Formats: sequence, C-alpha cells, structure tokens
Amino acid sequence: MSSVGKNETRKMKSAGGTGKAGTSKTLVRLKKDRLLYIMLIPGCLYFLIFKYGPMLGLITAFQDYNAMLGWFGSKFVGFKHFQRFFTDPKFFQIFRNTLVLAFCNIIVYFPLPIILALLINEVKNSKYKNLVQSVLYLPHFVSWVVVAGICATMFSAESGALTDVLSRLFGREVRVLSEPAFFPALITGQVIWKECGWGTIIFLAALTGVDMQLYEAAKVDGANRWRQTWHITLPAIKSTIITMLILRMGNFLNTGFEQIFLMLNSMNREVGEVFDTYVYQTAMTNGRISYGSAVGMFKSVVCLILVMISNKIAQKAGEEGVY
Amino acid sequence: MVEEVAGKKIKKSVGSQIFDVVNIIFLAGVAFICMAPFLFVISASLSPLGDVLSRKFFIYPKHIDLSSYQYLFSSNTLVNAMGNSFVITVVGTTLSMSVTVMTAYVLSKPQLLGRKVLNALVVFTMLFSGGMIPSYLVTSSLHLNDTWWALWLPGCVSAYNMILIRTSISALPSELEEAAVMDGCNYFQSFVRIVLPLIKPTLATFSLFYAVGYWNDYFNSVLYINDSTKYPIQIWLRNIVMLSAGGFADTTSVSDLGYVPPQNISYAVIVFATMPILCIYPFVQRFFTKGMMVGSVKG
Repeated sequence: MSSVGKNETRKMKSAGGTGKAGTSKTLVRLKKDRLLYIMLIPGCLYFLIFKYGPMLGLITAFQDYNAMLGWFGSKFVGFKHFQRFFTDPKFFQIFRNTLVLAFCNIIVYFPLPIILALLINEVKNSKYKNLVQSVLYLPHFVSWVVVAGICATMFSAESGALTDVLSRLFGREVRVLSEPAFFPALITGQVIWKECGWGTIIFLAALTGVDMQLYEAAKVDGANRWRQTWHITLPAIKSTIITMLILRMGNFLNTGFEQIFLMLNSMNREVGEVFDTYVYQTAMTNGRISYGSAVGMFKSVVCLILVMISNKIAQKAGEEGVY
Repeated sequence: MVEEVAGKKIKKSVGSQIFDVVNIIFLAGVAFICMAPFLFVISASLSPLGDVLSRKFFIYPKHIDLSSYQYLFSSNTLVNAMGNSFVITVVGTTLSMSVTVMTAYVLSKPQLLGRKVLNALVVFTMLFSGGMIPSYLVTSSLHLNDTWWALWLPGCVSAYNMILIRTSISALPSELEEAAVMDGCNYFQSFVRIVLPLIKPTLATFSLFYAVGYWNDYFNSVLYINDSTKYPIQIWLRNIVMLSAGGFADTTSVSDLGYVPPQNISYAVIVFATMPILCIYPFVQRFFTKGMMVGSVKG
C-alpha cells in the first residue's frame, strides 16, 4: 500500500507544477511508469544499434567506402555500384541460381510439412504420436556444419557410404558434392531432412484448437476420413498455411545462407552462387565493401517488396496477413 | 473395430483400418530416415578405420574401436573448442533471454506510451534488414572483432522470439499483476516474481532455441573470430571434416592441426558437436508444443 500512496503524492505534485493538462498527464504517466521505461533500455539499444544501425549503414552502398575515411569521409557515388551489378553477367547467373533453389524450396519442400502434419494428426495412439514427433523434430537442432559434415563423409568419392549406391543407380561414377547438376537436389534434400519434421509443429499446434465435435458431427453425417480431412482439418490450418507462405515469399531470395556457404566449392560455384554468398565473396574476400553492400541492399529491398505484395494478396483473399 | 459416436455405433471401414496401418508404418519409416544419419555417424566413430573405409557397417559397428576418441583427446584442442562453445552458449543464452523477456514484458504493457510504434518498429526489422556488410561494419566499428561479444551482441534479441514471448505474457490474466501491485510490488518485482514463474514452459522453449542457435552458429565465428584459441566447436569440426575429406572447400580459417586426420576422426568430432543438444533435447522437448502454441505464428 505504501508505494501506491507515494505514487499518489507524486502525481499531485507534478500535476500542480505544469501548465498544460495534456503534457502534464503524459509526464505523470512517464514518471509513474519510469521503471517500465528503464527496463526497456537494453532492448531499445539493441534494436537501435544492431538493427537500425545497419539500415543507416546502407549508405555505404552509395559511396566508395574506404575503411580509413569511414561513413562520413567516403565519397558519394550515387547508383554506380547498382549499375555495375545490373550490367554484370554474374547478376543473371546469381538470379537464376536463386530462383532455381527458391522454386525447389516452395514446390518440393513447402507442402511436405503440411502433409506430414496431417498424417501425424491421424495417428490415434498418443504415445506413438509423441514418439514420432520427438524423433522428427530432432534434425532441426543439428547445425548446418554437422549436416554438411555428414554429407561430406557420406558422399565422399573414396569412402562415402552412399557413393556406391548412387553410382550403381545412375550407372556411372557420381560426385554428388561437386557435380553442378546435383546441387539443387542436394540443398533441397538437406532442407527436407533437417526442417520437414520441425515444420509440422506449427500446423499441429493449430490443429489442437479444432473442436472435436466437428469430427463427430461429420462422422454421424457419414463423412469418411478423407472428407473429414478435406472439410474440417484443412480449413482449420488454412490461415496458418497462408501465413507460412507469406513468410516464405518474403524470404524468397533468402536461400539458406549458411547451408549454401558450407556446400559451395570451386566445382559447383557456377550453380550454387546466390546473393548472400556473392555478397560475402565480393565484400569480405575481395574487399569490395560498397559493391557488396549494394548487392545486399538490392536483395533486402526486393524481399521487402515481395512480402508486401504477398501480404496484400492474402488480405484481398480475406486472410489476416502477417503485419 | 467399432467406434461409438454420439450414441450411435459406426463401424470403421476396411479402408480406414488399412490407412491406419500404412500410416503408422510410413511414419516409422520417416522417423528412421531422421535417425539413420545419427546412428551411422555414431557407429562410424566407434569403428576401426579399416571398417569405415571399406564400409563394413551401417547403423551399428561390427568391431568396436575407440582409437578415434583417444586420438581426439591426445591434444587439448578439442577440449578447448568444446569449452569455448560451452561458454559462448551459456553466457549468450542468459544475455539473450534476459533482454528478450524483459523487452517482451514491457512491450506487452498497455499503459506503455508509444507501444504501437515500438511494436511496429520491431516487426519492421523482421521484414527489412541492413544486410551482412553494414552489420559487419557496425559490429567492427564497436571494436568487437575477435571477441565473443561479436557473437553475443549482434544477434542478441530475435524479434520473432520476442513477439512470441510477448504474446504469451499478454495471455496472462492481468488481475495477478494488479494484485501484486496492490501488495506493493513495482514492475520489476512483479515481472520476476509473478510473470516469469507463470511462463516457465515458454522460457524453457525459447532458452533452448537460443542455446541451439549459439551452439550451432558457424558463420558469425567465421566473420568475427580470427584467433584460433577462441574458435567454437563448429569451426573446429568444419576444419577437421574438410581436411580429412581432402576437401576443396574454401575453408576461410586455417587450421592449426599439423596433420591430415583420418575419416573416422571426423565422425567422432561430429558426435561431440551434436551430443550436448541431444542430451538437453529430451528434457525440453515436452515444453515445445505448449511454449509455441500460446504464441501461434502471428503474435
């Protein structure tokens, strides 16, 4: 009680001190909740420095950045780096590689967690269901370095466990890790193994909210399980599917960077180079900081536009959208 | 099989029963595919080099040979890298969780001035980012290079996690906190004593997410850490794998190992790099659905 009493007196004092009623009200609230604002400081600093700081730092893309001169001393050159990137033959190559990987992801990978979630949902024995879920979630928690390491050993030319099997299958010596033709399959396969099981969690969570009476009513009406799935289960996760699709569209150009970075080598670079790896290569390895920033900025802007478009479409279709 | 539905007895069709059996077998197959690489790696790490090279095993070893493990412990570089990763993970997770949960708590308060704007600013960071190079320039201009702060600070708060935690705090009944305030608690006290204990499943879930993120991180260390005594286990693993595969990958960091390690060594290192997660996982796993559900996707 004592602190409430103190707050009251403080309120009285500050209300008496200031002239305008509106500002004083705000001041009172600020003062009363000042601990709340103090608790907000670390988070605010983080977002300002490490999220909004780099956004301001995008001015490097319009400069000839020189580390000695910094952001304030470097010369502005306008859209020079963007122009150079768009006229570079590399631009087309990177765009094509990214599109191939993104399409593989959306067409091959995206439906799999939904199908898997529907199948898991049909399991009646809850112990078996839990066991399957625990095992399926596991690969998600393994690092890409480990996945790349397992692949490197399993597909290695001399002693890989799967090299023989694949060579027999294709009737020739197969080099999965270095042949460009295998790159999209390799990357998509890794994503499916690692993320497919984990991807079900969001749909299964949405399914726990479905009213069981709906199913019983459907059964009484003579609907078989397929029809129950089609008319009850799928509509229940429809908005989750759409939300995930929007998020996926926004990340269309964000092919898993660390994963691809780890699987790239001199033999498959022509099909494996994507925006992020190219940014790393030009800026960090070749030291073209401004050019790398420009390429990165192009990608970020396209991502933003894509997510806004898909969000609009979702809202037009009567869904909530993500923001 | 007979099921009772709303008082009526409805026989399960033959098709439905066949589907159940096929479904159970299919899911068992999927589960096996998820586990097979782990079993393969563990059994390879326990097999003698000859068996690994001639592939005389699959998911269980034919002969047990611990030489690869002996080899790893013959120098202290592995122990050092594991220790580094351990410190990076524990400190990073503590820091991330403290800042994330505290920010989430404040942003869940309706009386906060400019709350809508602040939340919108957080969401915006999920849609647009400065990208790799400007982030690198910001971090290095703070002189964080070659320190673990470069791993902890730039990714300290995940906006996505923060929003999910905020949603689960908002879902708590407000009377509880009002009662605490009546008893003389200030915001911080009611945050620690009332709110935190109520969202334990959420805290467990997101702590695991952050911990896994720190333990598994590879690229940030490539960007910021040059001193090989500060390497985490993932970088070390990458170097061993590339060296033993006779690899052509662009290993950006030079290994200080003076030898080419045989194949079964890399399997043993993979086991070490994965083990800590496999150990914690079963204990936290049961909180997942509960912890994630409250937030749903949107937040």
